[in-house]
Amino acid sequence: MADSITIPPSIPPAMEVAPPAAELTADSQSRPRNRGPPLNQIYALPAPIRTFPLPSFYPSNPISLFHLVYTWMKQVLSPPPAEPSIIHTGIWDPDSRSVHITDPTAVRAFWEQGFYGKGNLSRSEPNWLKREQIRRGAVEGDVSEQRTALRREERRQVKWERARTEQEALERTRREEAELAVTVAPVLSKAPLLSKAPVGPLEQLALPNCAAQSTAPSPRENIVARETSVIFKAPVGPLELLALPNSAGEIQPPLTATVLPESLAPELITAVADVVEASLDIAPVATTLIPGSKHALEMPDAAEAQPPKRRKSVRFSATVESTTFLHHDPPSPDRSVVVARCKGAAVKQDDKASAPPVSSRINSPPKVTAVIENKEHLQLSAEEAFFLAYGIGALSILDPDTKMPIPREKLLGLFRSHSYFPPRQELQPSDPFLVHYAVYHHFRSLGWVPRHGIKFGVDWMLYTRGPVFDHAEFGLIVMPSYSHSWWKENGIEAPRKSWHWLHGVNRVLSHVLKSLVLVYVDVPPPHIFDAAMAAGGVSAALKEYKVREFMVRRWSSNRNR
Amino acid sequence: MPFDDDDIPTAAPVVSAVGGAAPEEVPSAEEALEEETQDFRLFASLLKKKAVSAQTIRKGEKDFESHGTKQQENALEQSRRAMEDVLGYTRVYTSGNWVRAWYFPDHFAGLPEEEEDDVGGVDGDEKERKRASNARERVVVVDGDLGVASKTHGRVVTGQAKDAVAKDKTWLLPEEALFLIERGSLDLWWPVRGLDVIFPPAGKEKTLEGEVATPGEDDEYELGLPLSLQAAYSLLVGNDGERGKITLQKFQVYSNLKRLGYKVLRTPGPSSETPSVRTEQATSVWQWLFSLIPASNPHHQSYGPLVRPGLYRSYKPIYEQLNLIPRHKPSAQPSAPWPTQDPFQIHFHVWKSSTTFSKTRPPPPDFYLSVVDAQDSSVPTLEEMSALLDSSPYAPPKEEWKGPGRLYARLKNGYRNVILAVVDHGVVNYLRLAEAAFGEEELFSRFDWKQGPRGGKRGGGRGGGRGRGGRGRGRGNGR
Repeated sequence: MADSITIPPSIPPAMEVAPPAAELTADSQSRPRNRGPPLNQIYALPAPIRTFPLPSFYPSNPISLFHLVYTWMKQVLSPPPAEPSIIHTGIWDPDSRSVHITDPTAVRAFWEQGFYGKGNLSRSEPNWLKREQIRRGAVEGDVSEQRTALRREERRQVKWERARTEQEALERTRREEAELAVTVAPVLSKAPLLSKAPVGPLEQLALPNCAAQSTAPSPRENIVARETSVIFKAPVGPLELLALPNSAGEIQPPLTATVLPESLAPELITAVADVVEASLDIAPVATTLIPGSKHALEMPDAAEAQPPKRRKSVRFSATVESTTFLHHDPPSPDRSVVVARCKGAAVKQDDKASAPPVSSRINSPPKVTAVIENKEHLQLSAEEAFFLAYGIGALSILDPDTKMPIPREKLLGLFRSHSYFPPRQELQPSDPFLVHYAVYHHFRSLGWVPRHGIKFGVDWMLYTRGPVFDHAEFGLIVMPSYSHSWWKENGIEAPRKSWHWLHGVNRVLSHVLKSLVLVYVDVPPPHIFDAAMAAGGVSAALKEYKVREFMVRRWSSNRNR
Repeated sequence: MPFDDDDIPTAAPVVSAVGGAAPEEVPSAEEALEEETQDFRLFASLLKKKAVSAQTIRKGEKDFESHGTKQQENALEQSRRAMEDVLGYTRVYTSGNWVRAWYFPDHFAGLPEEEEDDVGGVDGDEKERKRASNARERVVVVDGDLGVASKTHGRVVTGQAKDAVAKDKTWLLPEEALFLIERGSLDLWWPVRGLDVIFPPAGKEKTLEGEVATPGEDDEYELGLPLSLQAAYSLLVGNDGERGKITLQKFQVYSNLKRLGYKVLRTPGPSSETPSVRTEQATSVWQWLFSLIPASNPHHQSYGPLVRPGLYRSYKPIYEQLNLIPRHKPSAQPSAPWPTQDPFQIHFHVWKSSTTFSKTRPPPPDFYLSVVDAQDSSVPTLEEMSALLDSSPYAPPKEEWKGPGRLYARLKNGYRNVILAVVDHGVVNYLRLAEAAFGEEELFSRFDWKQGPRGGKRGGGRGGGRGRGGRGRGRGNGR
């Protein structure tokens, strides 16, 4: 099924992430599917038309003949209504250029019998009501949106976990190396490691991030270092240097980095870091800095107020890699250790932070059992609506003002003019609606389920059965083509698309394991189109459009040798 | 995680025996393995794997920032050194490894273009599959034996007059010459004297032998001058349509494929040989095809509904009524009425390296390649696309792909295909274009299978989709 957990592709071998990942997969597989009737039953009809197949006759089994005759007689004597038996109604909405279906049975019918349209409040299947009921705790069950959210959350946690172990491993080696350096360093030189000016990137990285840590080579020696070295050492580190007064008038109770409160806002450190990098030697910097630090002091626990995961990363790096982490980025463990030390009381909070809640966002609201009004409708795009009305005949489209059905003769003109914005009166055979409808009709008439593909950067996605059953295998890009000599004489040609654009589309599609199909629609010239329109209406006109498909796939020269 | 999806861990095309230990005494890989001194331990351990440079330089995890650990620093330094070693490897050319070649741009200029066809035609059945040699384009004559390279490079031009000068010499196309020069197996010379002096005809050979066959140091430069790589490029690289030159883009694609081990030959002859014949046939087939469709479906209500209300026993008649847009039917005959247009033409025939190969009678190519410049051209129009594909042979899906399970495989394979090399400032990207025919796959016939093989339906949906779980599943393939 489509909801099996996908594990991020690259789990570096050296890490111990396997347990959580395996757990997740097992969990998702064993999760009971409480979705009522099987999918094949719900989505039994491929189109909003029922068929009445006669039971098959087996010569070896004479009773089957009676069964056959009985069924046939029954259908002859009391024939079932002509299919499509129900003609649903939808209202044309010029503002959104779509047809709205509000009747719940029609909504379900169009969704279940061929996957037409989308819920205006849902991703695709119109299930806002169910989602809302579940959210309020009125109904048990799950909806695809929620499963997706859960899956994303799980995936995020796996990534988070992975990054955390990565960071821990890193921290371990760093500590080992630091210990090694500590044992070696005193022998080599009297001066402590940190008293050198931090010029290289490595030294800058090794610089402390927290005030309390500022002079300690590693968090382990943090406390000792604070007590011993800070006060007695000459101010050699950047923070100390910066904090030095510039003039006698400025001398005041020492506001050095070591005295800064422990809840020092990380932003301040970033600021310091930036300033340090910008001008290490320029003394006046300190004056500009001190007001800033005062400001920071007034801010009550700025770091604590923020969600723990969103903490800014502060690195004394020569290059600024990233100033803000995304909220799913892992906190650096070294930092959380330090902060924990600094704060003491904040340890619990940090622990919480290191295990982000998975489902708190998803199902937590209180149970309310009120009748929820369904605020969702199904919206059919112009192509879908036209196919249902003109092709299948299962939809009648109402005018929004008069609430009268729009005759099918006028429907095409309406959709064509609305395929431009603002709606245009002079129409061409190359109207976007006609070109796209030709493609839509072509694939629908073959039994495929085309759906809009803007989410993947293409015009249409092509499903064999529908989004409930399988992933779309193809993404279609519609390319109008003007090969008739009339177009050439009038200097009309298709817009030239760049290779960069095509490669971009192809790259996106191949990342989601879909194949790109270029669908060329050969547009008939106006005189032929108009003649056909006059002779045989829409049907004759549409026959003048030719559709050609071309597969585009990246070819790897390395794999085909 | 591989650096990019072109990487195959086992493949290290360029440097298999790169030394790079110490510049003064470059040992081969085997030698390095043998003398396992302390200093070479790392080096030797690297060489145990086949792919030296690719492994050390490009493989491994990508770090995005420095951790400040020694470990990382060391790894980085190690890779840097390996790369330096690879780059600093001294290439040695022994005299046996290269041959001299002369640049004679106008020797075959007088040859009529039809020569290509005549070669095939005159020789009759026995030689009917003998590949035309593009003699007009051959501008470099090899003085000696090309060795291994002669299997895929150069041709002795047949059909010359009996007493023609240098008749039995191998002549190279510009891209072949340039590739061999870059490879270090060819030394291109600019002739000062004529071809008849450099390659004296058989009769005169005896008299000249005293002078030429035992040349002193001076005599060599009397015949001509060696050309630099730059000079070779400026002589052999040109624009499209210039005889005896090749565009830079095509050469880049050519050398890229050659370095990867493919066998590449230029498309024989002017590619505009047959379209006129094709066009006539094609239009008739095309028209005939589309004339069929209205006949089979005469009654479509002008403004719908196409599906007439009624009682249906199966979905087949319903979908047949919906069939309105002409469907493309692939056929062995080229179907498009349009001629090929530059640059969307087949420029190279490509064979896999494993193919047993004879350059005069090569097997049917594995790939048909067209080269376009990403800056000068854009995504092809319908005319360009179908003409390009029509110039490649009919290659329908395999017989064993029948059935619902291989639906995607059939569709993706298509009925004709061409590899398009899009070159953007020297970066080559290959695309496989295939003529698909969705009209050949009527999915609606599955709708009537009610009790039938449901699994087959699913198989159709899944066949290609889920079988590839190994790669990139983590990204998910959203609906």
